Amino acid sequence: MDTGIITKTNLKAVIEDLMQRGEVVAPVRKDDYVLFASLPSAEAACLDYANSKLSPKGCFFPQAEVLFYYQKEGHKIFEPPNEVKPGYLLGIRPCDARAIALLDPIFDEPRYQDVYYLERRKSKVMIGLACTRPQSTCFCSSTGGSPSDTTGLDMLWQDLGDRYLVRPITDRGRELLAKLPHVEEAAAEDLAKASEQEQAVLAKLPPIFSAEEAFSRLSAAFDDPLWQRIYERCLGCATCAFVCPTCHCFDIQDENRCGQGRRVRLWDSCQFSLFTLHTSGHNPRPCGKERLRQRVMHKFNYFKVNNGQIACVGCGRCIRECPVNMDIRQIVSAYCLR
Amino acid sequence: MDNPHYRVACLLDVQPETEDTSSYLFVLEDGGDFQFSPGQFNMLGLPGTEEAAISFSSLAAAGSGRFTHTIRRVGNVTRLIGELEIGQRVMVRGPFGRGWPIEQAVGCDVLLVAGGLGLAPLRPFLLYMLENRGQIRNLVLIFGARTLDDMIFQIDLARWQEQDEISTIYCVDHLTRESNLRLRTGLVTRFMDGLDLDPRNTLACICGPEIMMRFVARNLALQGYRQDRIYLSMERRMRCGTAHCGHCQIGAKFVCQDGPVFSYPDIARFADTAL
Repeated sequence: MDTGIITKTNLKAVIEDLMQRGEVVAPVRKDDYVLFASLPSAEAACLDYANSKLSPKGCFFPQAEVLFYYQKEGHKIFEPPNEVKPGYLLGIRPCDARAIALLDPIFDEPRYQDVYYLERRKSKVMIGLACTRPQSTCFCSSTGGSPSDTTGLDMLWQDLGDRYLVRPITDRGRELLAKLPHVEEAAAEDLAKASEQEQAVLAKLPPIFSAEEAFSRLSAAFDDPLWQRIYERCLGCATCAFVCPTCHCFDIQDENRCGQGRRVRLWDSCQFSLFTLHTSGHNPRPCGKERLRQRVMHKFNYFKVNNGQIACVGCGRCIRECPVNMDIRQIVSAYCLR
Repeated sequence: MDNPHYRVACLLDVQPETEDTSSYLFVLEDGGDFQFSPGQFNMLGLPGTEEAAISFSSLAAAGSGRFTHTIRRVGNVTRLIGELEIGQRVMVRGPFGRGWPIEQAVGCDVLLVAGGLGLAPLRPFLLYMLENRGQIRNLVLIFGARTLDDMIFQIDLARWQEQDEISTIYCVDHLTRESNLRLRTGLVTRFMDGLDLDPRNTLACICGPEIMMRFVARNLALQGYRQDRIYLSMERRMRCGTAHCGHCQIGAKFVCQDGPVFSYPDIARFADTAL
């Protein structure tokens, strides 16, 4: 079967089947927002959502990860227990899946393989959910993505109203499709409807700038006086970095208690002044101007220099969550217009 | 899961350099070899106090597993290292980074400019040059510190100033007392004119506070020294040493992996506050 159909009446049974096979991490409603969490029951899955408050990068790169436990006496080091459970990441949006694909070469490169990230990453089959309801803050088409992009996914589901169109992308996805219960072969009209829907969604997302243009304009923008004006509104709270699916900077801290403790890797952000502060008191990025510039340049310029692609997927979380309405689309556009 | 490769090293000897700085000789506890090149660094740490990036101040001795770090006791990690007794242990990850471009020195004049503790990463490079003196032409060291009491490696300094193989200029901001070192008063940039060097064929290596490196590099460039042969050793806050944590980024480059030694044109544009 190339493409399958799961009717929504069978959704619960399908998710229950997945839960039999392994851990299912999926969007779950919490208060007035949606987060990715390990499913306690099939009903908890919330596939009718715009996007999650935090990106699912935390499934592979947790906000706090214990690297090891130690005992100060005798310098003893203990491996943390392996809590990685094989299973499925269900309902991830194409933008967030692309973000994970961007993180892969960072944590898995010839010189250094990050076992913590890779163990988690390998453990999950990625089941995406195409975007049918883009938000006003979405701009994936400007960053090289699209509402039904398959980068980073093993399988893509698309909501056709009363049913999901199920498209396997990789061998892992095809294997899973063959095992799933209640899957029917997709009819020609399902495929036609899906393609029509895809075009309609794409039409709602006209590109604001191109990744290529943003990259080349920013290459010459390091000394641009505009940074001075742009940064003034920024509070340096780093909310943008914490909700960002591609931000991957971290701090390492030791937590001590009575001669023993643990070394923990924690999300960190270049928006904090402490991020670069030297013990001597010298700070290479002393002011918000340098810090905001670092974030924008890293996403739209430096990352492409090092990894061939820009590190923004247009999920719009930083725009939605910014307490002072900073808009990265406007910042990049401002440079594209210069 | 395999942890990143922490190795344990024991403190063998401590050599006081200044009031707050000492050279610490370590040896690997596992008896293994430890190879590194001048200008590279280690992440040194203790359980409970994370790590600090510290460059080597000695040459690697093949097969010995020994290495020296010259450390100023200013932060959490360095203060605790200062409290270690002989035989006590530290956790080591490394070596990291790219060191001084030794191969580029062959057949050239070599100028070393150091400020304060910046002499530490240059010392192994200088020792290597002296061991392989035949490969290079003129060798000049300009070393500046605030006062005589802030000068590290004074035994080396005294020896070098008497050696014919190297010309030395030592300067202090304030001349506080006399010593066997021939000291001049002023910043290093005051003593950079009329050196016995061929600007078109000189490898210049600079290490010190960023503001010092900025003016030294600019001064050299104005004098007609080739900019692509001016190298600086940058310092940044670091966490991982493997170009992941993002702390040490300068432009697209990571100091921990692409540096800490950079050619001047490579980073001059991107250093946020200096250069």
